[in-house]
Order: sequence, then C-alpha cells, then structure tokens
Amino acid sequence: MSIEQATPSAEDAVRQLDLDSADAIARQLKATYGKLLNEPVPDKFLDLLEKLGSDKAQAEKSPKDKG
Amino acid sequence: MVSTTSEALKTELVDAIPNMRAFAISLCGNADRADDLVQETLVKAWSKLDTFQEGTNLKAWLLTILRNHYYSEFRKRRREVPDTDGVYAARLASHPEQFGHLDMNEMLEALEQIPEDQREALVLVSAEGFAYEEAAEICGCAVGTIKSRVNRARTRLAELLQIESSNEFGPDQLSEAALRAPVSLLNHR
Repeated sequence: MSIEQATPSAEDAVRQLDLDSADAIARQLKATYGKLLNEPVPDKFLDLLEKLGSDKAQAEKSPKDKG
Repeated sequence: MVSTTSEALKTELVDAIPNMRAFAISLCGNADRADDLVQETLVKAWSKLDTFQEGTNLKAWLLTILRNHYYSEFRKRRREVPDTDGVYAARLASHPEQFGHLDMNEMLEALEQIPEDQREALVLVSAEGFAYEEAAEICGCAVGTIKSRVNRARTRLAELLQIESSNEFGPDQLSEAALRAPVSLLNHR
C-alpha cells in the first residue's frame, strides 16, 4: 500500500473531512462565536439607535424644522 | 409621533447587534473596525427600514446590508490588513476531543487565514446557523457555491488548527486517514 504524500495536493484541499473533524470544527467554531455573541452591547450602539430614532421622531413631528 | 412599528423594530435591531458585531469581526479581523462597520450598517439599515418586509428575517436582512457595505465601501476605505501575528508558528496537534481548550483567539486568527468568501460562508452556516439557501441569499450566490465554500473553509480550518483524527504525522496515520470513506458534510452545520 502506497504512503500518502504529506503535502496536500489540490485535490486534498477540497477533500471531505472525516466526521470527527467536521464535528470538532463545528463545535469549536460555535463555541468561539457564542462567546462573541455573549459580549454585552456597548452603549455607543444603543446611543446611535436612540439618536436615529429621535431624529426620525423629530422629522415626523415637524418636517419643516428638519435640521 | 413615533410609530409603534419603529419601536418594535428598534428592539429587534438591538437584539441583532451581537450577531452583526460577530459577523463583522469575522469579516474585518479587527474588533474596532468591526464596530465601525456595524455602526455604519445601522445607519444604512435605519434609513431603509421602510424597505424591510415585516415577517421576513431581520437578522439576514441586516447581515446582507452589512456584508454589502463591507465589500462595496468599507473594506477599500480602511485598507485592512489582517493581523496574522505568526499564526503558523509551531502549533501542537490536537485530538478532536481535546480542542475544547482551543483558545478563542486561535480560532479567530485561523479564520482570518481563510479566504473571505469561504470564511463568510462558514460563519453564516456553521456559526450563525443559517440554512445554505439563506446564506446563499445573503452572499448573493448559488447554494452550491455556498456548500463548496463551507467545505473548503472547514478543511482549511482543520489544517490550520491541526484538527485531524490522525493526530500524529506519520505515514501509518496518513494511510489510515486515507482509507476512511469521505463523509458528506452537506448536513453538518
């Protein structure tokens, strides 16, 4: 039986991963991404939405006074 | 007077911000730039909120705007260079069952090594949990293209993180791995 090359060929680059590795990748990726998703939202975003909302409210209230 | 629709949508927007930030980080490779991208996206999204069809997926809609903004304007402007930081420095091989200990930064650094189109496909499908069809819509490409990119990204990520079931670099292990029947990944997220 011939020994496979250590260096991946172009075909290897798109070879299917075995099941364990695929599961491992998915789990670790989800774990990392999950940590990112759990980061609290900084105030700057909420402030931005407040501002966007109030600008809109302002425009709706008195369209002639749009800044 | 502010419509109640705007208020409800604003709540949904807030709920989607963590997803926008995480996806933006995967695109930008930098948390500060990612936050800038998210803020610009929020302004854009807000200005066209009337085009959003209620009942459709707001998160997908927002990520589409974010992605389009990134590729059309943001990336060029910022002249971004991913922070590679010697990711390829000698890395211990991991058993699949062991890389719960894998550092989050290692994963993010490895992700940055993958081409953008593969990376975003992998993130949308495997991390965000979108269906292939949804990811294809967000990326503006065919479903088959998304599947192919996800597979390539997974394979590349496994190489970068040295996550392979054959955990030693010897000819016996490589032969053993070559004997395994390839398993379709199409149903794996």
